[in-house]
Amino acid sequence: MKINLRLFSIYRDIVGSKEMTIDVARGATLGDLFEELLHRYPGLKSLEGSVILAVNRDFADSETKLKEDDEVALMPPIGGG
Amino acid sequence: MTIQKRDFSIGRVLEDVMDSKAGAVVSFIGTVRRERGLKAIDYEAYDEMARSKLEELRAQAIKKFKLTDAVVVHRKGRLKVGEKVVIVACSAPHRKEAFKACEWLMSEVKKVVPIWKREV
Repeated sequence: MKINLRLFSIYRDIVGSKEMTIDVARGATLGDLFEELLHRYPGLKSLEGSVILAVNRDFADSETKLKEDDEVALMPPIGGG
Repeated sequence: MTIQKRDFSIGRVLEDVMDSKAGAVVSFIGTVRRERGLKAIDYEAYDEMARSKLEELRAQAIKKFKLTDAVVVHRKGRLKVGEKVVIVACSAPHRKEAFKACEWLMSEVKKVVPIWKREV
C-alpha cells in the first residue's frame, strides 16, 4: 500500500527529498516503514534513537498500524521558540 | 493561531485577545538573542501539523485556566538577531490565570508544536 512521506530538517537532508511516496506491505506498522527507510538510507541509522514520528499529523509510535494513503512524517526532536 | 514568515504586530495580537470580560492580558515574546558567532536562526515548521497542534493547545489552555482568549503566532524562515520569533498572549478575568496560562502555553509550544531551528 502507498504511504505519503514528509521529511523535515535533517531527515530531508539525509534522504534528499522533502516528500516521497513509499510502498509497504498491507498491515505494516510505522516501525516496519522506518526499517525499510533505514535499509534504503543507511545515513538514518544514527538518528534511530531520536526520531519523532507522526501519522496524519498526530504523534505516533512504531507500533502504529498504517493504512493506505496515510501521511507519515519523520522529524527531529521539537524545538521552536 | 498562526505559523507565518512575515513579522507580526505585538499591538495587534494584544488587541485581538483583549475582551471586556477579561481584566488581564499577559504576553510572552521570544526573540533571536545575540550570541557570539550567531547571525540568524532558520526556523522550519511542519505547517499543517503545527497549526493543528496550536489549535489543540489553545483549546486546552482556555479550558485549563478558564481564559477569555489565547493567541500564538510563531514565525518561520530566516530570522536575524533581534527579530521577533513568537508571541503568546492570554487574556483572563484575573491576572493569576493569565500569567500561569502564558507560561504553560509557551512551554507546550516548545514540546508539541513541530517547529525546528538551526543556527546560521
